[in-house]
Amino acid sequence: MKHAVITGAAHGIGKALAHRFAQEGYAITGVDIDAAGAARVERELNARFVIADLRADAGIARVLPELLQGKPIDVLIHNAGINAVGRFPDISIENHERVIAVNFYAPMVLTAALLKADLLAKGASIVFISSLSHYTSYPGAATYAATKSGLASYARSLSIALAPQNIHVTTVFPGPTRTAHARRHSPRNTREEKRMPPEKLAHLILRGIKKKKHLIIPGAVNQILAHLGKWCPPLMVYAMRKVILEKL
Amino acid sequence: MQKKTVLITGATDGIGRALAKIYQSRGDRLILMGRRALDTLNDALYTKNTYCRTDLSQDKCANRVCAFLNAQKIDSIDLAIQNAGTGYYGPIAEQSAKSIREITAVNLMAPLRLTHALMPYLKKASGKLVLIGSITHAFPCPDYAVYAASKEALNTLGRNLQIEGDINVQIIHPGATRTGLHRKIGMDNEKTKKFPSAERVAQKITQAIDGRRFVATIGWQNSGARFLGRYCEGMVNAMVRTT
Repeated sequence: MKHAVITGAAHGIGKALAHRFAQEGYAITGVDIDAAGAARVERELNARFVIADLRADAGIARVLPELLQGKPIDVLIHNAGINAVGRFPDISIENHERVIAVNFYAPMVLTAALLKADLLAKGASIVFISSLSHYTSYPGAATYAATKSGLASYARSLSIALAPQNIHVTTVFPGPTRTAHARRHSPRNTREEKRMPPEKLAHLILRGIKKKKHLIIPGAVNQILAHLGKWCPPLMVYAMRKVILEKL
Repeated sequence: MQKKTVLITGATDGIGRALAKIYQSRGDRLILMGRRALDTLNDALYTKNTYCRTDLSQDKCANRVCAFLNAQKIDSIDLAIQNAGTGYYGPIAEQSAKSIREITAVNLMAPLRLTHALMPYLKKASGKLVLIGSITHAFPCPDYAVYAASKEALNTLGRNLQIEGDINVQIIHPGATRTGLHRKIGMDNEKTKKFPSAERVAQKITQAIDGRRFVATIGWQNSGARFLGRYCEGMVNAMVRTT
């Protein structure tokens, strides 16, 4: 039985990924801060969970020994992420710091430690959930955008470093997804039905990982937005300003 | 020209020190930040009134700077150059959590903290915030992945701060420069001797700061390389993979 480790697996995209990979016959180890949510997914899937707060070194230190006791990892998905929305000076420095810790620092520390412990199986995939903001910008969440771009850069370097060991690295750039996370952080939620359901996203991610893709931009609309952001930044900047920044 | 108040981080060595010399020669009021003790810095640049000793990897760094500014009765800053940076060179699996933490703290968290803390000072002077990135942000860097990632994050932070528009932000990406950083991270080989000097790079950085570009890359070769790294991702990845 193959083994998938998914951070932030109690809710949203992580939970959908846990379900999709379980369907595919994977044994699931989830990592999450929310014990109640984790217990729910554990019951649904017979998954194993490590309850840990990835904002702190102590939390990361709890995850590692648990994973080291487990089976080799075939798919490692760094999905856990938090956001802080508002104009940069209005967000407290503690919140900025938490975003960096969970979205940027924790995945890099976990990756280095798991590689060092040789816990990734031959032919394993390491997956980073970045964000479409890498291409489109995200005024009103400057630190979040920074961490997600940083993660994409790290994944790009990692992909080359690990190719000789036959470990594959995939970066996912999801756009708006219909999760509680998105609802919490959007200025208004009038177009919620337009967001991609997490189940669909999880399916596209699984398919991309199977095909050993390096980059996954899920959905045609997101792909168009990514291209516009990459090749014509002023247009996306204008749009993001209208859609997000001016509504804060 | 009117005297400006210029703050520089990482000002005791390399590009930061060279920048400090340039602004000193222009007669500007300097605020220099570094980790070293003042009595170990043998240069008239660093005095009780210009040098603020701060370890940027510490949470309290922004408070210390504000306390220093307060003590110096400085309430506005015309130019804040966030130049301090650190790195690691070696296999990803061998990098300790401590090293990842330090790079994240100095290269990303400290600029964020200082930007947050200095915003009122910059606003008051209608000043400019300059983030010193690196062209490595546009490349896959298997031997210094965390460093490149921190610079990519800094670049994106700067881009979004520009869009939010509370203050004037500029991002400047130098290429490889002959500084103490390479030796510190164990990269002291023949190659680094060919890099341009910190003085030359600092000179070009000040020209970029005097200019109006939002994102500036130092040197045309670096501009070209950065363009390829960003827009011809697949090709550049393949090139790096085979070398």
